[in-house]
Amino acid sequence: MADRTTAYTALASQGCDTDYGGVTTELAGKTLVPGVYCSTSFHLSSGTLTLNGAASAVWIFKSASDLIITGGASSKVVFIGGGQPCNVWWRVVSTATFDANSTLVGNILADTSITFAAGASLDGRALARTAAVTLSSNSITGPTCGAGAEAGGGVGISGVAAGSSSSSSSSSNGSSSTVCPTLNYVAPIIIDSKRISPTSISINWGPYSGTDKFIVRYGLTNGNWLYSTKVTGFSTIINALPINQPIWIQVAARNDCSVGNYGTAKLAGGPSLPNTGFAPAPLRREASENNIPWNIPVGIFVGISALLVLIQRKHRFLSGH
Amino acid sequence: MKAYVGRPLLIIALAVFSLLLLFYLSFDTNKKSVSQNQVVSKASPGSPVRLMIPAININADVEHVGVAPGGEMESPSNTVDVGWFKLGSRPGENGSAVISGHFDGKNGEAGVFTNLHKLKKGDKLYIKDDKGTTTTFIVRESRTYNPGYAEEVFNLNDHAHLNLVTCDGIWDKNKKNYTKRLVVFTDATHL
Repeated sequence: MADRTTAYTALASQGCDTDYGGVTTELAGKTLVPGVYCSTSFHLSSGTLTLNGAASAVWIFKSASDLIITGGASSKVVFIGGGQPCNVWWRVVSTATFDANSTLVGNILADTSITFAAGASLDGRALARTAAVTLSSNSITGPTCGAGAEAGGGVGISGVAAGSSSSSSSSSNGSSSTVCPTLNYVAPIIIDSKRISPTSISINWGPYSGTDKFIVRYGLTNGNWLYSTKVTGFSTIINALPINQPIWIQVAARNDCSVGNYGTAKLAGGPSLPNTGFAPAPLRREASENNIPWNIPVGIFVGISALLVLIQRKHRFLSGH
Repeated sequence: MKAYVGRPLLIIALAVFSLLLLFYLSFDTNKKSVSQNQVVSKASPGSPVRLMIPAININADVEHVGVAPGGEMESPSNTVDVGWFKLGSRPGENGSAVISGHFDGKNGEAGVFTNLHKLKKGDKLYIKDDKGTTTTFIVRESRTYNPGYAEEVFNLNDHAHLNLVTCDGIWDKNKKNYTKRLVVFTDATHL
């Protein structure tokens, strides 16, 4: 929930490249380059919205009120130039509404609610902050995204990638998919770590608890996570690290839209054992064993004992025995 | 005449006894003053400032050390201080805190950890941190390593550990290095 709010706030803080002003904006028939588009309300009705940009391009649509998708199958979003659904963001102040059989792509963050009528579909995520995401025989997938091209290309939506489990009640009568299933996986334990070069460290973890998808985050101090990387499998090698610098690592299970609990952090790539000695002086170890000054009381004791014996002998001599 | 000789004898015997008693008490008081300060548990320990190991008569300042250019943990700057590995865990928090100390010095003098090999299972050591609290650790085992990487010395995170490291083995003239490393593993008494 916190991450959802972070994402919502991050989107809200983006300035508008194009502001359509206080009128409802019909997106059908438009071809838009990457950027931030603002309007009082966005509609996509019976037509095609074309997004023209490269794989890393990001489109952000900020609606001051609602987002309404109508027109059924004739409403659609197409990409030219390689753009990807995972890099399309819809920030909606009130509600997002999908009429029957309508489709959309991208990540919807609505302040209030998101409602899908029967047959509507979304290639992306539906995250509502305060009320429900309502489903009715819908298909929600993805968001579709090529490797290494997730959001952030120059726009900087920090906090979004962390994700969180979505959401809320779903009044589903036979819904065909779920909205970002909750993760119930065990927090992974880092089993082994090893420095394999001055700049790379290998780690592996477990146990298997239903998924082989993980996210590994790391940094130079415990709790200050500077980087994260998605991994499929139970081991990875982290490269391009500062020379001989150990790193703190945590691993969590993930799915396409959220991240589970991180396991206990572990220091990996620790230094080699220190060199704490110099050329030895002969017999130093033996000599050092006497560093507690027992010789003083023992010396006094022996001396006084000898004195006592002498006095005793003198006493015997004087008393004539 | 018998009484003339007996009185000084009694005085001398009393003097010797009280002298010995004084020595024993002074050592005993040191131990007690440490154990009275110990803290049973704490949420977030501070940085270590002092290491005390009464069993081998160590009471040393703690320096904060990092990684040397060659990739090994740095040693403290002198033979009397010990060095805490500041990139790792803090003593008392979950994880493995590591402290190194010199085995010997350039001029043949003994280092702070010369007698580290004498620690045995069950011996206690104490870390005082910059918040003034003291954490108690108990020796679990001693192990000898070859020089090089030993991840488990730095990264076990099932408990609050404190591991002490110094040189061991024999001096290798060519490598200008001891042939082994001694690691004493200890566990915090809290948690």
